[in-house]
Amino acid sequence: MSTVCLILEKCALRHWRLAWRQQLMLMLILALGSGVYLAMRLANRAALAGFEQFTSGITRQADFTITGATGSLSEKWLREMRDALAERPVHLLPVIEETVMPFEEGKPVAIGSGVTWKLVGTDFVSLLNVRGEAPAGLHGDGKLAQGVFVSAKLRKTVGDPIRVVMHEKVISLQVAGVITEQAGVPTLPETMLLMDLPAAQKLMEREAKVDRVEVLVTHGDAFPHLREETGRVLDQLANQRWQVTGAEDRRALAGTMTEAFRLNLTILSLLALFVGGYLIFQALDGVVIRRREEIGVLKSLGVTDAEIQRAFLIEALLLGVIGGGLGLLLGWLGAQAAVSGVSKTVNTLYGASSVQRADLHTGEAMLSMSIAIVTSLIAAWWPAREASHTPPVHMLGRQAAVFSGGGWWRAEWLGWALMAAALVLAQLGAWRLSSATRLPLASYVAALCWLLGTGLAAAKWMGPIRQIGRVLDRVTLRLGLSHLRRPTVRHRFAVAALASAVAMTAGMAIMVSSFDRTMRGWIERSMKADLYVSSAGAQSASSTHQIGATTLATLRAMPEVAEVATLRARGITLRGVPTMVLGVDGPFTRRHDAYAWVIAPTVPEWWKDGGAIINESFAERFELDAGDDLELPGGHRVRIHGIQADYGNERGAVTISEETFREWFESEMAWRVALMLKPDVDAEAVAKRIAEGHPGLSVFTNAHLRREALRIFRQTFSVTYALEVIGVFVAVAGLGLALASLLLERRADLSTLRSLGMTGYQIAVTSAWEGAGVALAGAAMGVISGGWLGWLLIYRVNKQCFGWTLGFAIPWAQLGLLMLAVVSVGTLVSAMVGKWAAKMKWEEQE
Amino acid sequence: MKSKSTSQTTKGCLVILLALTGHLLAQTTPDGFAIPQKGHVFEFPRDHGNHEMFRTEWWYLTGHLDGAGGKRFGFQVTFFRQAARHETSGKVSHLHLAHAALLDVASGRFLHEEKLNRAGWDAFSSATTLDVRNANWSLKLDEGSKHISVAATVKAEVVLKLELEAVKPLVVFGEDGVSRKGANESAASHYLTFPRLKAMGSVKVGTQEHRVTGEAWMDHEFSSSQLDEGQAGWDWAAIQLKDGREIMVYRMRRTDGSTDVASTLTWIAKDGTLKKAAFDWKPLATWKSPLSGAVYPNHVRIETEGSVFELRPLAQDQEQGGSITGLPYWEGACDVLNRNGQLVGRAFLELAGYAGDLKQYLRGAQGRKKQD
Repeated sequence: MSTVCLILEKCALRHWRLAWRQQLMLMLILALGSGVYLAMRLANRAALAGFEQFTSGITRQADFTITGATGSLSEKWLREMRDALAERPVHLLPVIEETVMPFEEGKPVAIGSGVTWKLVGTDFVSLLNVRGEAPAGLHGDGKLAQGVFVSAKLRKTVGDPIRVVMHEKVISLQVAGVITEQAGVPTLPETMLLMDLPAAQKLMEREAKVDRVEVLVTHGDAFPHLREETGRVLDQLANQRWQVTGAEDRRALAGTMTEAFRLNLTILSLLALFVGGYLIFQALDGVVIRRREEIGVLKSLGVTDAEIQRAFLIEALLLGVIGGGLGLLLGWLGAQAAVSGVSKTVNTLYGASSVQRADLHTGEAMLSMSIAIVTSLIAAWWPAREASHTPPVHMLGRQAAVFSGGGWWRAEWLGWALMAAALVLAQLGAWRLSSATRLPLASYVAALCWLLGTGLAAAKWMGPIRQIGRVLDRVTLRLGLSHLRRPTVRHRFAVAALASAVAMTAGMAIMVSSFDRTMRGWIERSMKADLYVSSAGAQSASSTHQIGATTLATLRAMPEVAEVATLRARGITLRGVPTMVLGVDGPFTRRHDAYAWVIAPTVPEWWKDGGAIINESFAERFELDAGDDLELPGGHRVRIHGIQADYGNERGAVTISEETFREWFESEMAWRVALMLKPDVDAEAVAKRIAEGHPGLSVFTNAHLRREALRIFRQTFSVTYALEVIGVFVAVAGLGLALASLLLERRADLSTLRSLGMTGYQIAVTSAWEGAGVALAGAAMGVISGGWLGWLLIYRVNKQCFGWTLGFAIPWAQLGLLMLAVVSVGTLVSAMVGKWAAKMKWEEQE
Repeated sequence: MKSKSTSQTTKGCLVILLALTGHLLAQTTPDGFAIPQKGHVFEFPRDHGNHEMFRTEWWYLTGHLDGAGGKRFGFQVTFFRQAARHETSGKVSHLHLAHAALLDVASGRFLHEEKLNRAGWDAFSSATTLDVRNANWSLKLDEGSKHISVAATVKAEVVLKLELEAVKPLVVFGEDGVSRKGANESAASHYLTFPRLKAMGSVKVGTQEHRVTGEAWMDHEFSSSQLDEGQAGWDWAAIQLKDGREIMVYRMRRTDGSTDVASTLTWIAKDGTLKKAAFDWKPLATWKSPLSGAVYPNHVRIETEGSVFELRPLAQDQEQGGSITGLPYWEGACDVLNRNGQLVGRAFLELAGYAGDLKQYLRGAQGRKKQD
């Protein structure tokens, strides 16, 4: 061991001092890889924590939550629950809630960028019975009208006014009390306003109704039995009127809601790390080459192969530890920056979430460190083995190295085989979890196989590229490209890294472009009204903001309005997962041809006689088809007549007529309202007039809403783009490192060329041609490979995850630019490396 | 002629209306709650139910239970209804408070719990019969069997389920149906009692279930002002003698420590006839609560008509903590000894107003604050 330490001190650390920039870069690469992964993980967890906070902000974690199958729960049912539970010591805490949005006069808010709060009404008297398990301080100024209790984090004092948008109305509330933190009770999030139940019911105009009941089973010796019994009793009593979910089910549900989103991010960050792995390998390989003479000397002095290998691995371990440590810092900082963005995306796509601080847990820190260390060790394994196995005579000889290892990197057939395996895997269906979530596991494995295969097979392109040298008779070109005649493992590696990174980027670009075109088509077809009206607080798919009957009547009575269509929506839980029921004006949708059909209904008036249509996500999630009968919560039954394309939400929706909707849910409120104006009416002017008369409403003209829809859509992909840029950057840096290693190996050749009169400029140009060849091979393979990856993402991953059918669109210009950028930057980096190598003295080590 | 006649009729009506209003005003407290009136004709089961025109009402069950192997328990299950009139809207709302307690005599372990809920789906009292509920605690009369069922728990540690059967008829205390608590006319209640109920059922403590039998006492009292001006609280005892007679006694305590003249002792004979008697109430020992700091004279001697009854607590700590109301009181099981120290019966002793502001609470200030 002492020999290993001595080697480390005398060789490794000395080299670290001499080439500190390179070491720093290596550490930064490791830090970047593990940091990006960590940042994504932390930001996601923080964003998801918002879901939990909203349910557990009132008491300790409830043992069960009861929610209505088709909306609210009647207080009459609550008495039934109590009767059925008899003398069991179980506390039932009713909760009513609405999403609200803080309102500021004259500040319009773009969709998805507003803050969503929750106004939660619960029985403050009942809460006294769970003293010690509920927030303290509910005894504030109870005499204040519309009094709410807020978190201390909101920095408000008793009596302060708070204006919020609830449904379409602007409501003035007053701070009646401030809740401070209490040990053992979840902290009240700053986005939650608490109100006493009767006052909240009155304000929300839903007297004798509640949204959910938190069930707290009293702790004691018999708790496990009592808890089980309570769940069973409440379940048996439900009779399709409500659902009983345990705490673990709710956590799972919150996870399920964003499962696909999280999984995509994780896989993307891991793929970025995969490309990063190439770079680390190339860098450590370069380290071995630069120190080969030293290694030869050590071996001549009797240091064993095992000791040399161990020393390299320990050095890699050190690199991994330092890089991982930096990664922790980077990841944490990144998470703080990303949390708001991720939270916003989660909010837009999945519903109310609140921005939480992205805390670092020990487990995650360990995982991130492990990723950096394992990547570093795996990447160092082969170079360390090379260093220890190469005979001293080869090490000391300053001629081009003969590689004995890395044989499988030369096996192009393996690449084609992996790509073939990917083609087979892509035919497999999604893995269905019990929660109706589909995990395109086979498709992800196919993507990984495809990327690896692409990397291995990419070297094939270097042959044809070499032919260019024969066409143009220039020394530098022919010399540069001659190295590609028998590409070394390093060449193959550089090409592989580039091809994988470009393939990922190209694949994503194709998917985004396809999405964009499909969305435009869908928007064109489905958004035909002149004006769209919703509550200003409606910031997400699961927002409860609606428009009341009185406002609807006002809109209908406007002289400029020719036609009014309402969209009614209610969140339901079907087979344990959240989805939606929509109510529409059937004749209106038919008149205006509002739907893009995947399967057109066989019955023209599909909304009649218990008919319904579903969107693709719904069909995919619940494995339903046109012609099927569907049993919905509350004992309702519908016949599915058609399937429509809908890119609005991934939770899925079943659409029925508005008459049936009103009958089922006993609600006159509308979720969205579309207004068709009379000819020659200025839509902008009408929009302005409505907004002035109803400050709680958001009014969009057709063009504005289209712009907003596309903006939100693009915002969703912003994280993806960032990761792709990192991938390409890492791959190009890898190319530079690979060329540096190659030129270091060829020091003797370079020296000979200089002696023969070749200038530094010519050497740089030679290197640039070599690099350009590698970059072109990688980029070409990457773009072609990316085409199939795009297909996989569109027709498999996306279809299996979200259930959306997209048209295939190739962004030719974007792909051309990508290729051009990769080849140009690759050439430039190679030229710089060549210039550096030209200055290098024959006996120089670093 | 016709117009004169109309005018006279109107005047007549006004006079009658004014008289009626005056009468009605006299029968209510300033905030509109009813004052108990003499001559009230009780109808059952209706009068076992609630009387929402009165501010305060309670169904108060206490008793002694015996299990196998000499196991002995004291228990209390009480349901309160407290009304409050909203200052601005004038709307009356009701809060339901409930207390349950169990004393394991052998170990001296006293377990108790308090519940408070708004009137509604989780707490209510029937207006037509005895059917009271507060969360998972209930007290209900079966019209067919005339049995009263009571079910209560104390946290997750105690489950008490009893069937009660009256072995003596219901009695109505006070003069002509009104039990006076002070000089003021409004300081009075309607006070109905089952002085001896045979109890059968089970007591589960932890995982151990005991089959029990015993005797219980149930008060049903409603009023709009239990305490008069200058009064601080009361000491109350329900004594069940082995010879089949009972005594109900309450001592209304004035703020200066003296006994109010409205204090009463009533003998209940074997046949259920009532007889008021003079009495002397003498504390023999006190116990200071380590939790509330209140000093309770929980060991007393009551002397009446030549008889002496010593009420000796079966455990010192039988204080109901008042975790929600902030109003602790002592309500405990006692043995009853005669002047020779012989055991002649069992009793429950209540000592209220030794901690917290009982008067303010009964006036509904607390309740109103919480509801608003």
